[in-house]
Amino acid sequence: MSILINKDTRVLVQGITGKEGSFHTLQMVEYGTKIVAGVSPGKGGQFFSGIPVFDTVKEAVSKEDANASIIFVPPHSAKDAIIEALESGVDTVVCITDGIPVHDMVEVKRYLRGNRTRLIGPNCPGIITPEESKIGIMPGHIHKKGTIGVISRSGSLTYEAVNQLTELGIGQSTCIGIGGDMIVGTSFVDLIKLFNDDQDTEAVIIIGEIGGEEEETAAEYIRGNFEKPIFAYIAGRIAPEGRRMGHASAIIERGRGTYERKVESLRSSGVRIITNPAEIGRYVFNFFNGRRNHGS
Amino acid sequence: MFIHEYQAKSLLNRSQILIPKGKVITTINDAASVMNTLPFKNYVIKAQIHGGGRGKAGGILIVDSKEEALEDVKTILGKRLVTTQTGPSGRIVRNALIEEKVNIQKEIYVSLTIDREKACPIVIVSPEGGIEIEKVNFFFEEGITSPMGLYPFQKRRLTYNLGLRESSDEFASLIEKLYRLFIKYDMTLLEINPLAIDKMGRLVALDAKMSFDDNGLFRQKEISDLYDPGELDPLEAEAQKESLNYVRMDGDIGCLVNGAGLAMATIDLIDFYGGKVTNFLDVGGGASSEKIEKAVRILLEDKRMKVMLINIFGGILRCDRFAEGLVNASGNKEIKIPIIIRFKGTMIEEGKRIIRDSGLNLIWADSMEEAASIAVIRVNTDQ
Repeated sequence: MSILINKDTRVLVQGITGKEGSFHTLQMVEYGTKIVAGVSPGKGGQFFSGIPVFDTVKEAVSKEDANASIIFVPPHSAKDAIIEALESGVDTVVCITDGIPVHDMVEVKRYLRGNRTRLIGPNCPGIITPEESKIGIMPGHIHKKGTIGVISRSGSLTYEAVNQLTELGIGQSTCIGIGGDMIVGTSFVDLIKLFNDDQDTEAVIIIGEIGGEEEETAAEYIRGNFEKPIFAYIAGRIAPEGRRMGHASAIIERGRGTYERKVESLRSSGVRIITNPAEIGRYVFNFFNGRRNHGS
Repeated sequence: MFIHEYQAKSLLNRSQILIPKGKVITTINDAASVMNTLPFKNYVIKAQIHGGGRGKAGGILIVDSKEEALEDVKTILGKRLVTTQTGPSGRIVRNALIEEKVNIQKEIYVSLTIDREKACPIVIVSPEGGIEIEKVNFFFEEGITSPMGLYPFQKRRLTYNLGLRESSDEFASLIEKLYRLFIKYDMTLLEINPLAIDKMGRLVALDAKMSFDDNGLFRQKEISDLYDPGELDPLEAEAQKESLNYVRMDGDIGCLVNGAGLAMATIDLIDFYGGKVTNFLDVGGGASSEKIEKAVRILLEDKRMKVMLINIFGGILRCDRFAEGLVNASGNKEIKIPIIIRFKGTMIEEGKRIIRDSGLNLIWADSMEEAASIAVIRVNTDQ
């Protein structure tokens, strides 16, 4: 019914006693996420809202059998926290932290090669499998269980898209924000592959944006490999070249990463392009209703 | 973050990389007094602004005498230089670099940057130096996957591809020094274009461009001290001080949004309905009410703005905090332009109550679509 996480996923929170970490831990618990442990060096042995806190990730994993971790530590210690999580052998690591130096992420990616753990983020809203588990900071109530997979480079724009879907009664299988940094742990292609194999995902929406080649690479993979309907909206159509549009990765450089190139390559791979960001929900709704009415 | 050419060259020089002899000056008087210490045959006068394309815009001049050099400094200082990379408003030249002209045998292109897809630093070289890399016909690159830097075979490959057999050791050592600098200072771009091979076969950096990762500045005190707000649009400089993501655009609808993606989608949507925005502004995820207040004030300072559009979908950002910031920014002053607000997300009821209690007169929209279309209609009818 989903990819990456479900109701049985056992989550630990790195930075559980911090401002962001503590607030979102409670939000996740309220949503139904199984938060089994927290990590906060020097605070091992304490409890946060009934959740046991440990000094190290390794201890939290071995004592509480956690298989996923979410990271809320500040940028300067994020590299260390991510590698500590990767080293502990959990299946999934979500890093929320915004502002990690790109050279630190080069090192993290080096560590990731040959490692079986999947890193989502950094600088991302996280993952949600509606009505089962959320490992992230997205507002839970706008989501609805269903069959559409959503992948995005953005946070609030994903909420916007998901909200449009839910208001029209269209639910989601899993929604993932891969993060707005130059270097992130998981690519669109990795997730498209997972959605392809997920029997309960009927269609996928890509929320892309200018900069980099994430969308172009996805388009190349989709061509000939992906059978399900796939939709895309790309933000930044009128962004000026050479300017960073909020995200570290949202910048057109040396003519690369333009809106036109992304849309062109996705379209030529059979992806349905949504040009108006206010019509993401309606477009998908009409597509499925049209199909139903034509009996195909 | 960018630094000036002369600052970049000084960093190179400290790593024993050759640069032309010269001095940077900020006033004509400076120029007159340093000129005697610069007894060159030929001079190069270079306008110091962030952004390339200076040559074609008249920002780099070459002359044969001290007297002419002084004249050129007078021409360049204080000039508004508009290049392909500065945007239409250009930059005022506040510093000039006076250098000795190097006798060049050959010019090549060398840069280091981070390759997103490979997720590692890469070296790019081309035997066609001195022109913009976008226009270069062929170049070679080597990904640096080892934390120790380039392997010797990679350096050999670069050298041979450049046709530099005779100075291969010198080139290999230069690349090594550049890589160390790139890592040490959290750079995202280190470009030497051109790198000259002079008549004596030495490698000299005729130009240098460096860009630093803003996220790395917390551990780069020496670099962050070189920050020059004078190179930014005044509103952009102010926004940057508050860590707001702001980009100046050319229209009359001011935009204030939370989240980069939603902010981009909002300006796209306004364009879709035929409107033009004054700016892109993402207040970020966990913004405090103080930060919101500053953001609203920065927008209100922009006299080009005829309508303001606020699009908030609060996740990590709480609507009550946003409302407090907005109300505080308006203070007791009456805001003369219409403000359209689309407000949704965490703590929404409290947020709405704060705004209503303040007496602030806003136009409420239920969706971003509605907000954008109202903004475009208002800007066209309120003339």
